[in-house]
Amino acid sequence: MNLNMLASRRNDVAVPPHVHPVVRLNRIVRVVGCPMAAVVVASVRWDEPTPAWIWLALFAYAFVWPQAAYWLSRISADQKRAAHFCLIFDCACFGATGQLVSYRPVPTVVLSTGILTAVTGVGGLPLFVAGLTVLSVVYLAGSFAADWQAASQTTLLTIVLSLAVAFLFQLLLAFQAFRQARELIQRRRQIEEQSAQIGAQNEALEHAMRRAEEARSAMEAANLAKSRFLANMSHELRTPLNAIIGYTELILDATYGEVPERVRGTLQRVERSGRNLLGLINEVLDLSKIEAGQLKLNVAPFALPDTVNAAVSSLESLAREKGLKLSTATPPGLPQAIGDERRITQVVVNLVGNAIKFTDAGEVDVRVTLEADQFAITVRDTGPGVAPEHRTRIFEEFQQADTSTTRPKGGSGLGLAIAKRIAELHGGTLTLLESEVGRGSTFGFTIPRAGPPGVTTAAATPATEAPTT
Amino acid sequence: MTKRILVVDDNEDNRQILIDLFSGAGYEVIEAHTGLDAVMIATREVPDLVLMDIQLPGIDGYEATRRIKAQAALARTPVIAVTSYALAGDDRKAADAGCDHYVSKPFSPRALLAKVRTILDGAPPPAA
Repeated sequence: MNLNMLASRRNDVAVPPHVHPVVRLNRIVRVVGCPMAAVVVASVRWDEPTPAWIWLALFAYAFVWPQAAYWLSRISADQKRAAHFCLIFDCACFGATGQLVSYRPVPTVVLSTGILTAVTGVGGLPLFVAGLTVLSVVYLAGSFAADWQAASQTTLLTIVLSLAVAFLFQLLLAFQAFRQARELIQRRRQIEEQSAQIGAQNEALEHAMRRAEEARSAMEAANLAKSRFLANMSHELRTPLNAIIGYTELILDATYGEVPERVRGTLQRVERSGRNLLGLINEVLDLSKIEAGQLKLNVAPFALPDTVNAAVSSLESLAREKGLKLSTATPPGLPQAIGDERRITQVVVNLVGNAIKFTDAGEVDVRVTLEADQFAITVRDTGPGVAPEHRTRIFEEFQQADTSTTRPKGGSGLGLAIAKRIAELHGGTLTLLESEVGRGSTFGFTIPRAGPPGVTTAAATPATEAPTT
Repeated sequence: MTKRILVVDDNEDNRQILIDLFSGAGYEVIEAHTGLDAVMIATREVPDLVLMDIQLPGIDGYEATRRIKAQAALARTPVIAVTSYALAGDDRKAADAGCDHYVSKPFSPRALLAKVRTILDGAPPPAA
């Protein structure tokens, strides 16, 4: 038995894993069972005249067939089916032994129960029925050919051998059954361990996902809280500002009586400062609106050249004060653009305003063009230019190219970031096209000719400051 | 006959600007400090126009407008919403509540007066 165990172990190692377990089991059973059956038959034939080919067949069955059956099964496409066919062939061979042992009861019973036990062990009831049928047919055919010459005498040697074979064979099958049961238990334990591991991994994964989800919602909540805070702050800032700007205007309009010329100039400074402050507050609010996803475009068709000209002319006095040449070029016959005119004005005012603000001498040139499927507005200045290392930073919030210039040039540093977001909301771009330190910069602002993505002209509502119902 | 304007605002400074503005322009001005006051005074006085601040203690300007507009005598009274949030959807909410017009703070008194004149007199204001 130890040998069998060793054999099976060796097989486990030597045979590639794709050998069907039934094929492996059959080999072990045959390697032990076939020689034992041959020995029983030989013990009977020893005293009787036996042709040489029968001895040869017995030898072949005992020692060649176990290997041949194994290889035949292994190379077959359907290993299990091939193994079953080999077992049926075994049944036929065992049937033939009936005549060879002259139907002596003891070896006949031992051999037939042996083969049927093996067959049933491998293939269950269907294979048992098939095996029994084949075995019986061959027995009967042999018996007819031998004219029912059943010998009555059985030598003691044959009886002892038969019983020994029966005992050993049953033992072999019992050990195989034990081995399979143990393997089964081990496999089940492995599966249980694996599923426990998988369970633990799943739990860890779920935990990680939950944490990621929590982090995400915390971030969203924080973002929402920030936007709400900014919006509320904006409201709180606007309320007193409303009073400052409003009263200044009322006084200037002589609501409370004539205003002396000296006081008028001072009041105009108050009003201008108030409006500057309002501009900054508006930028903060715009950014918070954009971040909260609450900035909705009021999309409608409009004449882009008119919008650009109006935006530029609102800055003309500023350019004149600095002695800059401010020019615009808009080709005639441009089709209507589609977008939020107020927001596009905001972008143009920001770009041109920046150009004027940062340029101390020379010119600011604004051009509108239609290139294929997009409108492009380019603003070129002869200002200080933007150093390569600052080119991405200028589009970020609260950044100006050179922080040392923040104070003299003023501004919140939000304008360009907001302008870029507005361009992107329109499905366009805002980029620094080219810049050379000391020579100037060119900014490019594009919007798609077809309007913002997801908005059709038909659905576009005209921009109205005062909705009426 | 002098037209009457109801000014609703919880902030005294802002209320005073509107009172000064419209009184100076020759309108009669009545005032309310809260949304509920506004509904009560509007019902009693039946003004020709309402300037409604949106951020009010208690019921907000939208709700007050809804209650004012629900009355047959006031259904056609123009209401101008004044808001300082200026968030997306504010104009929409104002329209949904029944506000006829919408201005965001800070407003220019000059522009607001022009707007009110257009609404009340149906004619552009005389050039100032």
